[in-house]
Amino acid sequence: MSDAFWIIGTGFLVAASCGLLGVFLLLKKVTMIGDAISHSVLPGIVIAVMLSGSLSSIWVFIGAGLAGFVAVLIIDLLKNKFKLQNDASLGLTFTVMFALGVVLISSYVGDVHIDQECVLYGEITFLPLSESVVWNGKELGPKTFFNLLGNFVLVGIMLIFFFKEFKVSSFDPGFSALSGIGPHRYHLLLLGLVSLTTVASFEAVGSILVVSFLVGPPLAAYQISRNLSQMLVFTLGFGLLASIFGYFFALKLNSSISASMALFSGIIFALIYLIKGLFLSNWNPFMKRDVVESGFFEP
Amino acid sequence: MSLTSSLAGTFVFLRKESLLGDVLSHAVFPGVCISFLIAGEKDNFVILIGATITGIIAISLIQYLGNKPKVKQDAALAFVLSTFFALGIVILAYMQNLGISGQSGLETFLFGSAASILLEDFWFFIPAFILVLTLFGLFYKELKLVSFDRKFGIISGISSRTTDMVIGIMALLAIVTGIQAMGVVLMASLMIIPPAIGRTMSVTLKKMIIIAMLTASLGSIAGTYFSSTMTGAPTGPWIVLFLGCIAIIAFIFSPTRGLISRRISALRQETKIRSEHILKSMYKGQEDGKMPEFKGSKDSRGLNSLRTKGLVERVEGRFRLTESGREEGRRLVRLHRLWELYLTKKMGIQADHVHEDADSVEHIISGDVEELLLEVLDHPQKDPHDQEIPYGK
Repeated sequence: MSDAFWIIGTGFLVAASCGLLGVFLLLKKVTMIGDAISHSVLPGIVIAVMLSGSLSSIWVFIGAGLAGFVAVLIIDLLKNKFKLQNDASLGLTFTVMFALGVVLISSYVGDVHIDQECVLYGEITFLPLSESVVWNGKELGPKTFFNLLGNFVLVGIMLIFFFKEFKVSSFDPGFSALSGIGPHRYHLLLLGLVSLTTVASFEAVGSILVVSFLVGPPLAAYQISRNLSQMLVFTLGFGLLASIFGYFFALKLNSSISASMALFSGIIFALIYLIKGLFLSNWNPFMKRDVVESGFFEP
Repeated sequence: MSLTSSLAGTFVFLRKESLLGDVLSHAVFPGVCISFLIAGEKDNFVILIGATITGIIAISLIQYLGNKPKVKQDAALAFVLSTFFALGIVILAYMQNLGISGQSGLETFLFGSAASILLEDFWFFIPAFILVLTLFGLFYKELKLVSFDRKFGIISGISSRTTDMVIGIMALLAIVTGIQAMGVVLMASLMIIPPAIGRTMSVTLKKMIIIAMLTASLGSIAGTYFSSTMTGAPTGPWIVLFLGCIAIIAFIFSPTRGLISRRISALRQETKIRSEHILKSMYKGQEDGKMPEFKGSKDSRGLNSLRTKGLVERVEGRFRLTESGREEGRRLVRLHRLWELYLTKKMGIQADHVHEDADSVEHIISGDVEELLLEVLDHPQKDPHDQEIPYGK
């Protein structure tokens, strides 16, 4: 398996997991929470790395999970006990936690290669050189890849299993509450999955670029999808495209691969938006086919 | 720097658009990168232009996309933030790999480094602050109005687009001033935390702004000092941490809205209600001969409060209403029954539903409301439960 395969594959897994979850964040109009979560988990990751000495251990997930939990607690505390407004509670909590994380990194002198730049944009370039998973004495591939694969599978299973529930609670929370499907429960589940995915993606793309994958492909898919399933499929497709194009662009330009992939997530949306606006302005995904075919309505 | 940011940040905060500050500060990053690319070194002027251009593009994009039905505000914010920042990183990495000399200076823009600020930078900082101050002074009334009540502002003829632009410019100036010390990633917190602290600690806008500016300066100075004594420590995060600590202290100890004062006033309120209920039950006890029993710490707190006010006296180990206590009790019972009558007669509510409501409302009916009630109900004699409404002398 060539290096390109592992790198693009890892990028795709990040884009795919984030994208699938990002679809629901987008529909609920809470995309910025993804940004907040990815910032907040940093101190948890750093502390876990400091204690466990490795970037890919299970402790990282636990630490980050705890950090995410603490963040939610603090935000809730600020909003309800201190009556601080929603956006400020969010902003305050995640910036302070992120600052804490950065300070911890800068004061930490250790074995593990973790530094400020890593936090920002990960080290997907070094992926093929990093620790590998060994099975039956054969080197299977980079550990991060499999972490992300596992994460992707988890996200996929959750979405398939709870598809109905996620769908209803995202589109119509009131109705879902009446139908016995507690929207709050699934909202928390969604945010939990986002936290998990952020952590899994940390080594590959760092803390901040994750947001691109959470918003870019879903936003692009949203423009041209007729229903939720279409949107999810398109998101996966766009995630793949972003990974591929990002990889080759970065190689050509000799720049950061993860950042390029993130950049392309956004570019794809821009392209779709422009194409739709300039050439297909009379078309929308909900148009009935026979209306178009009758020739009466020209796209 | 901190003064500029806290000033601009106050209005952003009030408009509940704090996340916008976050997005903008990330979004100016590619502008900074490009200017490094062009200038080959840290040239404040070029950086300023680059950041401003990118900032304006970002603001316009957010406005434009935010209004599109298929995008909406939160997605627009997230999109601009991530894509612009990714672009910046791509450029940064490109420069790093090419070994362009200026790029290490560029890196300091990520997390801030007060050490990299030179004296000549002040030639920019000070005018920027003055400009923000000027805008602030010129538009104070309009900004204040629009931030608190946008619709009223529009009706009053204040162009919301202009004020939006003014706030945007102020925010942009603040950001461009601050990113060198704070770094792009954490700049937003300087615009969020000090105003939040100011808000907690005061009720008027003027005080809020002053407190915000003070705390911002305090935090920045402390953070800068601290980080400079440690090698390799970026300034931005330390400033944020200090601000966070100040915020925690403010939230707990703030005189009006802080946790402690809230608890105290809630306790006081509870005692007041409890003692008024005690008065009522003692009065009613005199009416129908059934003396009420009091137990528990809350009751004794209420009784003590009544004693201090001279409404109740202790005789032979038992409690008795004084003359003024009797009057007060009578007043409360009267208000209670009047309110019950009002609810049943004028609001059409069933007689067995009105007691609880009256129990709460009786504490807040003032003299003039009482007058109104008497008028509306035509000086009644009996309440819905056929009890007499006591008037006394």
